[in-house]
Parts: sequence; C-alpha cells; structure tokens
Amino acid sequence: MRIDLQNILSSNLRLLLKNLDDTNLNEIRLRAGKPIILNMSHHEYYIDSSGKLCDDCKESYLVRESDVKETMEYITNYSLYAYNDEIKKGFITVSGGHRIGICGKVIYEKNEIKTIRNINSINIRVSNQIIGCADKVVHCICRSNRFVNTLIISPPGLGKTTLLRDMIRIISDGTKEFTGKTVGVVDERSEIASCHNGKPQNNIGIRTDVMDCCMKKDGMIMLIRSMKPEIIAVDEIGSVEDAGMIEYCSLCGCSILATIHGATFDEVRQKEGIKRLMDASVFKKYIICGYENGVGWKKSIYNEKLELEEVVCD
Amino acid sequence: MIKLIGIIFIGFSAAMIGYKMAGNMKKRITILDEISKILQEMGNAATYSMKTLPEIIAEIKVRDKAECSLWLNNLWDNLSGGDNTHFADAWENSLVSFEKTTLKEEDIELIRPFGRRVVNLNEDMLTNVIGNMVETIDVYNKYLKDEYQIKSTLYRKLGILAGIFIIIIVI
Repeated sequence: MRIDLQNILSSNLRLLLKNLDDTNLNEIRLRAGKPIILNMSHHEYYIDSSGKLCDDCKESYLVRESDVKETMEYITNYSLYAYNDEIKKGFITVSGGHRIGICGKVIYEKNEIKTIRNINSINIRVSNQIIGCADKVVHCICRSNRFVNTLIISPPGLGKTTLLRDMIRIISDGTKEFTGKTVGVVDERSEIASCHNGKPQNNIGIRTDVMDCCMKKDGMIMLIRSMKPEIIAVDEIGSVEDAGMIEYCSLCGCSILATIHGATFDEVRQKEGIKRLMDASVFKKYIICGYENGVGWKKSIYNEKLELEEVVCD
Repeated sequence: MIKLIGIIFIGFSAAMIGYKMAGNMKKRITILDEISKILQEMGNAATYSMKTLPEIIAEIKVRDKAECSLWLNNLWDNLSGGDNTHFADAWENSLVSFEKTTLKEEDIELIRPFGRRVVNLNEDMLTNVIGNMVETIDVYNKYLKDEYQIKSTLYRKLGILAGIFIIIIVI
C-alpha cells in the first residue's frame, strides 16, 4: 500500500494493510465495531486478522473505536479544530488527494452545522487519477485550436470527474494538435484537483487555476474577473442557478467544460436549467459515459443536435 | 593552615547546599511558569491562526531558548519522526526531558495527562482543555511560590547554620 495512505491509518490498520496491493483500491470503510470493508474494482472485500483479503465478513478484522480515533488523529495532524471548516462539509482532503468522508454526531448552532463530534465512521476514498483516459476524447471537442462548450453526462461512479480531470490536464498542458490553454477550475467539493493546503494533489496541468471549495456561482465570476481563463471547468451542474452562470460565462468568451449526473439526454432534460441550455444549444458537444459488458468503459460523443458522432472505448 | 582552609571550605559548602536547595525550588517554579506560558501560546495560536499542533510546536521551539527548549525539541522530534505516533505517546516520551531538570515527579505527573486530552478536539473544547491545564499549573505554582517564601529562607539559614556547626565541631 502506498505510503500516503499508510500514513493516515492507525498503527493496527497499517500493519494489516501495508502489504495490500492497492492498484484497484477505491475505498476503505472504517466503522467502529464493524468489519473493515475495502472496495476494489467495485467489489467489496474484507481483511482478516493476518492482512489477507477475504469474502466472509465473519473472518474480518473488526475496527476498534481506538482505530477510528487514531486514524482521525493522523488525518487531521493531531488537530481536529484546524479542519473544522472541512469537517462541517463532511469530508477532508489529505495529502495524495484522498478524500476522507466522516460521520458522527452533528452539532448545530443557529441552524448551521458547527462541527461533527464523536466521529464513528470514516470512508477513505482513494484518489485514482487515470492519466490518459481522455486522450481519445479531447480532440473531438477541439475546433481549430478552440474548445467548444462540452457537457459530460454520466451516472455516479462511471468516471465523469476522472474524465473531466484528465481533459483539464490535457487542455492545460497542450498537445501537438493544439497549444495549452488557461483553464479555470471551480472545484466545489475538492474532487477535481483534490487540493490539500491549497496545493492540487492531482495533475491538472500547468495552466490550471483552481478555486477550491468554492461555490460554482461565485467561483466562475471570480475566475472571469481575475484569472482570464480560456476554459472554465465545473463538476456536477444541475441547478437553474448553475445554468444561468454557464450562460453568462459562455457569453464572456470562455468555453465551458461541465459534468452532470444522468444516463440519457431525457434524464438530463428534466432539470429545468439544463433543458434551457440544451434548447439554446449552449453546449456544442455532449459526452455520455457508460459501461457495457464485453465492451467495457465507453464514451459516446454527440453534437449539439444530439446526433451520435463517435464512440470511444477504453 | 591547611586545616583552617578545609574548615572554611566545608562550612562554605554546607551554606551553599542550603542556597542551592532554595535555588532549585525557584527554578522549579520558573519551569512550571514557562510550561504554563507555552500552553497558553499553543491555545492562542490554535484559536487565532488555526495552525495544527505540530506547526505550533515547531514555531514555539525555535523561539524558546530557555528551560523548556529540550522538551519542545523532543516533542517535535517525536511528532515529526515520519512514523506516525499517538500525540499522547509523543507527549509522554517528551516529558523524559524534564527528568534532567529540577522538576519533581509530582510536577511531571501534573502535565502528563494533557497529551491524552488534547487530540481530536474542536476549537471550543481545545480552548477549555488548555485553559484547564494552565489553571491547574497556575494554582499548583501559586502553592509552590507560597512554599518557596517560607522554605527558601529556611534552607538558606539551615545551610549557614550547618556550616557554622560543622566549623565549630571541627575546631
């Protein structure tokens, strides 16, 4: 297991997991008094007390309360108070770009979340940037050295953020076919760049500026006013407000790269703001991510008239 | 002549032992005062700058050149060793540095639980825990200061008297 992951685990868990091959590791779930669950390639496994993967939860190592506490100690560098803003949002991004989701007793003050106490379950979402996953897609959205507004449509877990991240990297760095562009990223939930102490932990290219933990409506305006981006990238749009901002940005001369939850055009159209954007042909390209048995991961690229142009398979 | 020099030397040494004992007591109070100030500084830095405990300790250890410097360096080494250590263990291990100072076991016992209490706390709880520790040390130190007023004079006078007594006996 990679060092940055080992460093945030309690000493018991570190011993158990240090020889684990983490190539396909997606999640480590720790719940006090419950078996440790590893999500690898979308299958769940347990770990027995000798550190081997097993399918039977009865053989699994049971996570102790002290494991959760000790792990939190390392995640927050012994200083839970310093991470309170992140804790209020329910997750912390650590070195290496891994996102730590936390659950416990939520304390409210004046109708706002003040903090989370008695943290009893932790979900370590392992950062797995797939460099090159957008290689075959990027050229489809480039027209004479300019990128067209593109919407990536995908159900949860099919890699839309991973695809967006790699598209940002390629566009920012540039290739033989096009020169690198300045990309502004509004990373509302630290999922794209995975910033830790302000530094992106993922490779998002040399010309990328990140507004971390910033609401889309604020971040997009700030980027346009101050950073002169050629492309603005945002994750998981959906509200009428988001749609309004995208309309505004596209009128400011910026190209938009955005993602949205959904499996088909019909599903996406049901969101009022997005329907308006689609009707006004704001997006010139659509990429639908999917998975088919026998084919694997595939990305279908459509034009503004929703006509299929190309299917790219990994 | 040699006998006279020996007598004076022994008498002087006995008096000095009394002064040293009083000095040790004074130093003990000074160290506890310094620990209390360091904890207050930790609390302020945590509240106002939201820095992590290792960052705060790293900053204070550079500034502090007095009695607690060894302890802070030891604590920092334990926390930044690369191999993750419980804050409580790092704190516990760092307290070994005080064994070489004038602090007594009961003084060290007073600050020992702090390492266990200070982690996984939000801002309010951290302020309370640090405030509580500082207050405990200050109350204890006040008692030591009162005791010092009485005992320091006693130690000095006993030292001088013991010196005179030895001189008379030897003569």
